[in-house]
Amino acid sequence: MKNNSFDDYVFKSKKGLSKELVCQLSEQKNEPGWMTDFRLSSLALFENMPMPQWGCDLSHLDTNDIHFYIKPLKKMERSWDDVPDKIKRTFEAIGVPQAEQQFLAGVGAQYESEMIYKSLLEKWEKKGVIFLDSTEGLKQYPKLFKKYFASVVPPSDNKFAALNSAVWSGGNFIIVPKGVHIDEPLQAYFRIDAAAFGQFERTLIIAEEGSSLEYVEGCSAPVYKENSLHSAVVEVVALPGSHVRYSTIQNWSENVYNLVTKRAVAYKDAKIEWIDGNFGSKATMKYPSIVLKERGARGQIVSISVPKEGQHQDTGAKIIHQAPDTSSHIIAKSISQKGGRSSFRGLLKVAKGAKDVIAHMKCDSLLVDDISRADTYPNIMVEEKKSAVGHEASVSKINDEQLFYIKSRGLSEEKARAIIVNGFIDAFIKKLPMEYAVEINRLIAADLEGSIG
Amino acid sequence: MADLHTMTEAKKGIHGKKMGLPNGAFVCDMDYFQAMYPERAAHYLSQNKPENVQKGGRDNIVLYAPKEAKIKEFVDIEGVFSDFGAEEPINKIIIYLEEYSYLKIYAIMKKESFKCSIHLEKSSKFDGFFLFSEGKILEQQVNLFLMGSDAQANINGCYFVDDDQTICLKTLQHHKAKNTQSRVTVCGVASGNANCHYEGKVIIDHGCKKVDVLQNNKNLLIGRNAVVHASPIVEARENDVTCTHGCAVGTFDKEKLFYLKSRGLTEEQAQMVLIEGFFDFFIHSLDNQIVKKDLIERMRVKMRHMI
Repeated sequence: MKNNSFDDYVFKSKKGLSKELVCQLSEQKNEPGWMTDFRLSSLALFENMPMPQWGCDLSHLDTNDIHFYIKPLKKMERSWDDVPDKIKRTFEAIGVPQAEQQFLAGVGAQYESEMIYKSLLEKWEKKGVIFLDSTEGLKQYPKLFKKYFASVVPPSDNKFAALNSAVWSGGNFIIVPKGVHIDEPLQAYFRIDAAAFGQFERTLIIAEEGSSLEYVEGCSAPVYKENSLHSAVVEVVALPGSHVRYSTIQNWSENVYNLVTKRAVAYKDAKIEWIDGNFGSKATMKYPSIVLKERGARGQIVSISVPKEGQHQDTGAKIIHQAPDTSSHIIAKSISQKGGRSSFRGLLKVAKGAKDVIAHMKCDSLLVDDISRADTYPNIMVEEKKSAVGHEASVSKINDEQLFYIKSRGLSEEKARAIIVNGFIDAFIKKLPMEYAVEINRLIAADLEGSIG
Repeated sequence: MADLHTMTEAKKGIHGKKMGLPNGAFVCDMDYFQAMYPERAAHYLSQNKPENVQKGGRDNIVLYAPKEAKIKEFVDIEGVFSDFGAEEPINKIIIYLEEYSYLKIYAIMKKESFKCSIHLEKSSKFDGFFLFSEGKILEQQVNLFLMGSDAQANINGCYFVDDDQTICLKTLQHHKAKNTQSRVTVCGVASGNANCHYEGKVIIDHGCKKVDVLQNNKNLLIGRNAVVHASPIVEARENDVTCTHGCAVGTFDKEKLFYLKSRGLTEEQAQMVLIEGFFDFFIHSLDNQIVKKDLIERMRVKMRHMI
């Protein structure tokens, strides 16, 4: 297949991973010594950790056949006019600049390994909101960056968190100052255009006391014969009384392994929401987690996965209650079709001393045809008697009675099925900004076309 | 009941031990079962590692219900195996229900490690009541294999663990045929420093249409240091199914306790009433008064000790 990517890269590493590459990467970014050491120790961890033997089949993922770092431009642009035409056309086709003009507070766009565009509305800049790419965040706010970096997801967390810690590049560094409520979403867009490439962005969000923000990220890539790898780490720190909503629409092409670690920590009375939509990729292993660390913290995770032919989406949600009076809610929906496989792995843990916890996990799977598969693997661990924890799950097909009712109103079978499917994922759609909700409905309708009826 | 072989079987050189039950059902050891029903035995053996199946031993005992045998009176597993001559409480039971047969058992698990595999052929039905409470570390496993279409299985289990007891309880509902139905409900109370692990697994094979599955696990946590770990797993490879599972962990409802205490009950009495209510589904689904009375008495003794 023809490689359509932008090929005037400033730097493109050779395939494979080595100490030299890590040092070279750190040097290119002009990083402090502690970060180089951190990268090297993470690399050692990655090399010593075994590949996960559960979840998706990763036997075809060859880390020696991947470019770990590609720098597309010399510097990041703050105006779309300055972005090279080839890259700009890619983002215009996805609709990123148009969305920015219409309803966003700020936009960051990552192309291959680096953020190539970043903008933030002036009114938020004046209020002290920091929206930088992570490399720049490390340069401009070294103390703050060091304080929070890897505090939520340490490199030893899992093999791919170690890999990301070794070769991370790009991603966003966001700080919302005390009491600032950003009422328009901040958006990041991640694009892989190179073949056999690994994207390892690192995002760190800190919501200071009483602040709020909504962050939306989208991901896409063209299809190549070679496999690519996307292995991000996202850390969110919600300080007392803050509210963070993090939405992801993942639509990677079917040659991308998407192995992501996302975790948030909520302090007193803070609220975290992960809204997680998985549509693409060859294999996804992603389990957004929330640690409710102090009294009154709340967490919600709403996720959907829509695997198709050749896809295995092993997704889930984890909530750990470490403090009293905390509450959480997990809603997971999956729609498997054309032989796709969805697996849900959930964890609800109530630690000793976390009294008066209320936690609930709900997982529904819809199997559109009889060649697809749905699995659920929830885990409930309760160490405190004064808590109420519940889990419920179901597996079903499209209800014939509902279908008959809608068809009797004059709709075609295909439209009737699309309506039922959209109703099934209503809890997810309602959490997204209107513009995204419309897009998701279209995306699902397009996915379902031909597979039903 | 006697330890019998028929003359014909003895002439054929079939070894092993067999004991008759009403309606043509019988209990036998693995040697006898393998000789008489090699195909049936092969399925069981394919599910278990060879080293776990002791040939000729008392560890693997089979309860066999032949075609159309309806055994409507409760079969007390403990009593049957005692009659069979098992000196030690057995720890692996295979129950085989042939086409159109029916079997109802109740079992009070006294062995710390126990595994029961139930195989159901076409249109057979099984009702099982299990009480798990004895032993320091309990490893209990109940596996259902619904092999023939229209087979139905209901299992109600309850556990009581306290002090430093640990229970590892596993259930499996493996649907291998269409139109099959299984219901597994496991409820338990954990007090003291008890550790409870429950893993409930549902597997629906490809092509098993119109399968109806329910798996329900409720845990009442009343011990200050008790821990519950529940893992209800579903693997569905067919879409035309109804599969629901639920799991809940909680403690006494404060309002209900207050209500009962306001009627003059002590804290302990009120808790006893709530625990009995928690197991209501179990007690009321028993239709034999003698069995019911026996189980209620056992439960009450255990509950008094817990509270």
